Amino acid sequence: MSENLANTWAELGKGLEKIYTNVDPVSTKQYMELYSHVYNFCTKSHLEDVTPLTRNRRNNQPNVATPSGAEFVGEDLYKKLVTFLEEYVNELRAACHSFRGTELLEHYNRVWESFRFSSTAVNGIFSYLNRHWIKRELDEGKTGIYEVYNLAVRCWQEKFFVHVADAVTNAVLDLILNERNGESIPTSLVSGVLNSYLEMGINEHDDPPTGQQVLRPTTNAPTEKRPRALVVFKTYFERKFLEQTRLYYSAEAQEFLAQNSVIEYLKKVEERIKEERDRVDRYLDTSTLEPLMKACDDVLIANYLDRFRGEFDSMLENNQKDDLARMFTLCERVDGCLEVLRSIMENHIERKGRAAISNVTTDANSDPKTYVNAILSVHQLFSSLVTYAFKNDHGFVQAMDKAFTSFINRNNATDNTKAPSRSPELLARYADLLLRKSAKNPPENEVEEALNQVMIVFKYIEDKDVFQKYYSKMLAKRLVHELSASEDNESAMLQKLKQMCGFEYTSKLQRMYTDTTVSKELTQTFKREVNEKNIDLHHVDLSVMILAHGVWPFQYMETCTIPPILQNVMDKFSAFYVARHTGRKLTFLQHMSRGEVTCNAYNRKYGFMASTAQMAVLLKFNDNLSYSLQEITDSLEFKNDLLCNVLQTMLKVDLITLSETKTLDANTPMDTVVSLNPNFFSKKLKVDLSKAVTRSEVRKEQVDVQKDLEEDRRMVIQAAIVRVMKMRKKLAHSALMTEVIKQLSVRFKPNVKVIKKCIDTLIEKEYLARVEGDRDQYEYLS
Amino acid sequence: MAETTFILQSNDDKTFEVNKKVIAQSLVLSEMMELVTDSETKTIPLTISSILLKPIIDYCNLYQDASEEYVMKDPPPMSLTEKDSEFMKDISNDILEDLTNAANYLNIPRLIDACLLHLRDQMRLNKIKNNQKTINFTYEEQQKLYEKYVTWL
Repeated sequence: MSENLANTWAELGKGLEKIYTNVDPVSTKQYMELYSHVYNFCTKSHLEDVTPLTRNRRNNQPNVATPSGAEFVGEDLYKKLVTFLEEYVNELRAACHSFRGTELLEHYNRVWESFRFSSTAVNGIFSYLNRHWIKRELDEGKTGIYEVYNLAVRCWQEKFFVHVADAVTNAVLDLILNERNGESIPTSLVSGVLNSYLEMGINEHDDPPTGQQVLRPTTNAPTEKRPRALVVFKTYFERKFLEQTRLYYSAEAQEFLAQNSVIEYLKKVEERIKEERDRVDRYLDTSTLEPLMKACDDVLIANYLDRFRGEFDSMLENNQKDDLARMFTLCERVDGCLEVLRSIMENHIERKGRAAISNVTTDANSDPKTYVNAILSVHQLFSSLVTYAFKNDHGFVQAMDKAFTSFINRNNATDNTKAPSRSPELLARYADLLLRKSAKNPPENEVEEALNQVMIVFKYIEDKDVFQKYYSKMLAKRLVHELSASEDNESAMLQKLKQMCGFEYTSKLQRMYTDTTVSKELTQTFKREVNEKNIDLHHVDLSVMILAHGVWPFQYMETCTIPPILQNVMDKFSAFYVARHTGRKLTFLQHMSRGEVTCNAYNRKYGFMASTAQMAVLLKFNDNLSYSLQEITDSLEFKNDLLCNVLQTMLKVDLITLSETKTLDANTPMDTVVSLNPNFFSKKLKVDLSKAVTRSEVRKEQVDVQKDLEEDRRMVIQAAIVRVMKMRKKLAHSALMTEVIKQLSVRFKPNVKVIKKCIDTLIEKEYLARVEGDRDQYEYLS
Repeated sequence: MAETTFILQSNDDKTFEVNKKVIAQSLVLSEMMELVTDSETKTIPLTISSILLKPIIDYCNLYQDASEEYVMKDPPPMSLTEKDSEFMKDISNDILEDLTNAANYLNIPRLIDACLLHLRDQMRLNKIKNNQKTINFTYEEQQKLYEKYVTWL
C-alpha cells in the first residue's frame, strides 16, 4: 500500500511541481498521465484490499463505512496534496517579502493568476478523488476536507494571504486615493486583487455574494464561474475602504465649503457620488454599493444639512430651479432632511402669497379680477416649481397645498374688511364677470380657460358654501336680466362645480337654469293662447319668468300698488297659469320686474326701460303733469326712501324737474312738486332708467348674505350632528366634534363655538341628551 | 459546430478522430481541454485499449447532438432507454466490466449509468441461472464497485 502511495506520489509530486511553476504549458499527455496516476491509485488499491462481500448483502445503505480501502487510500493522497500545497504557498510568501505598493500589487496579481490557473488544472487531475472520496467525506459532513481547487485557495489564504493582507490592502487603498485625486490607475490590477479576496471566502459557508448560488461544492460540473463569498472581502478590504472614504470626503467637504458657495458644493457632491457609483461598477463588488453610498451621504450631506437649509430659502427667493432640483435629489438620500425643506417651502409660499395679495389689496376690494389673478400667478409659479425641481414629491405637494389654503383663506384682503369670507365672495364675483355679457366678450375658449383657473383656486377655498351663495345670487340676476354671455359657458361651469363638490351643491343652480328654459316656453304658450282666445291685453306685451320659491334667492318685497293696466295683464296670466298647474300660488316680484314704457309726448317716440315702481310713476303722468311728492306717495303707497330712488334717475336724465330744491333725498320736503319736463331731449331713443344700483345696496347685500349664511350653517351643523349621533348612538364630546368637522369639511370650515351652541340647542330640543354621570358623553334620543 | 477535431489515441496506438461534442461528454476530457493552452496539441493519449475505446466513441457519437447535458440524478433512472439498450446489445459481457471502468475513468455519466443498468439487468438474469461461476465471479467484483457507487441496489 504505502509502496503504491510512494510511487504514485513520486510521479504526482513531479507533475505538480511542473504545473505550478509553469515551466512548460500543460500538455494533454502530461495531464492524462497524472490523471491516470490518481485514478489507478484510487481504484486499484481499493480492489486489492477488498474483503469479499457476500452476494446477499442487498441493502447497502449509503454512507455507511464500507470496508473498502478506498477511503483510507484517498486520505493519504489528500494529505500529501495538502502538504505539497502548503509548502508551495510558503515559498510564494517568502518570495514577495520585499515588494511594496504598486509593485506588490503587480506581483501579487501575477502570482495569484498563475496559482489559480494551475490549481484549476490540478483540480482536473484530481477530479477522480474529488468525485469519490472527497464527495463522500463532504456528504458525511466532515469539516476540513475540501475539493482540490477549494483546498488550494484555502492554502493560499491561510499561509500566504493573511501575512500580506495588510500590505496589499493598503496598496489598493492608496491607488483608490490617487484615483479620487484625479490620477488614473490600473483598474485591472485592483479588480484582479479584489477578485482574489472574493474567491477566498468560498469556504466560509455564509454570506453568498449578490446573485450567486449557495456554495455546495460542485463536482463534475463543467467549469463554471467559481462561487464567491464576501467574508474575506469584507473583513480585509471593505471596512478599511469605507473608513478611508469617510475620512477623505469629510476633509474634502470641509475644505471645499470654506472656499465655495453651497450651490457649487452641491454640484461637487453630485459629481462625487456619481464617481463612486462608477467605481463600484468598475472594480468593486456590488454589495459594497449600499454601504458606500451611505457613507458618502453621511459625510457629504448629513453633516451639512444646516447650511443647506439656509441656502434653500434664498434659492426659493431667486427661483433657482436647477439648484433646487439638485438639492432635492441630494437631500432625498438622507432621511429626515426633506421635512425641514418642506416646511421652509411652505412658509415661503405663504409669505409670497400674502405679499402678492397685499400688493393688490386696494384694488382687490373692488376688482375681483386682480385678486384672483394675483393668486393664480403665485400658484402657477410654485406648482411648476414643485413639478420641476421636486419631482412632484408627495410631501412637497402637500406642503404647497397647505400653504395655498392658508393664504387664500386668510390674507390681507380678507382681514382688512369686516366680512370674514372675502375670498369666496371675490372668487364668485370674478366668475360672474366672466360669465356675464359685457362690452368686450372674450372668445369662448379663453373663458373656458379662465373658468378652469377659477376652479383651481376654488379647490383651496375652505368656505365653499359662501361661494355657492354668492354664485347663486349672481346667477339668478344674470338669468333674470338675461345677462349671460353664453349658455355653454354657464353649463360648463356648472359641470365643473358638480364634479368638484357633488350633486347636492349644484342642484339648486341646475334648477334655476331649467326654470328659465321652462318659463320661456310658458310665455310662448301664453301668447299663443291670448291670440287664440282673443284675450284683450290692452297692447301690453307680457313675458313672465316663473321661479321656484325655495330655489331662487329672491325675497318678496313690497314696492307699490300696480297701475290697473299692468294689474289686468297680471291677473290674466295668473288665471292662465293656475288653470294649468292647480294648487300652485303665484307671487309677483315687482322689484325684479322691468318694463318698457313708450312715450308719445314728444316729437320723438321714446322708449323708457323702467322698473315697476318707475313705470307706476310714469303712468301717473298720463293723468296729470305735476304731482307733489306727498301725492305720489299716497296714491301709490310708496315707502319714502324708495320714492327717492325711483325718481333719482328720472331726475338725472332731465325727464322730470323739481320745483324748489335741486337735489332729491330723504330731507326733501314732501310738498315738493315733481313735474314732467316738456323740453326733454335725449339722443338715444331708448332710455334706460333702471340701472341705478347704489353702493349701500351692495353693502346691504353682503350683510344679508352673511346673516343667511349663519342661519344656513347652523342648520347644516345641526343636521350633521343628528346624523352622526343617530349612527353612533353614544359618543364622547371630542369624538363628536371630530366627526362633525370631518363631514362638513367639504362645504366649509365650521367654528367650534358654533358647533357647541348647536349641540346645546339640540339638547334643548331633545334630540340629544347628556349621559348620566358622564358629562362628556352624549346619547341619541330617538 | 465544432470543426475542431481531436485525436484520441488508445494504448495500443490506434487513433480515432472525434469532434468537440464527443469530447464534451467526457467530463475529464472537457475539463482538460479548457486548461491545455497549447492549441496545437489535439492528440490525447489514453490508457484505454482500442477495444473499449471504439464502443465508447460510438456511444458518444450517438449522443453528440443531445440538447441537454446528462446529469447524474438521485435516484438514478430505473431502466435503459431504447437507444441505450440497442447499443448494449452489441456489447459482449466480457468487455462490459472494462467498459464500465473506462466510462468511469473518462467520467461519461450517461455511459456509466447505461452500463450499470445493463449490468444490473444481466445480473438479474444470472441470479436466475445461477450456475456460471466465471461470470458470477466477474460480477461479484462488479457488485462491489457497484454497491459502492450505486446506492439503489
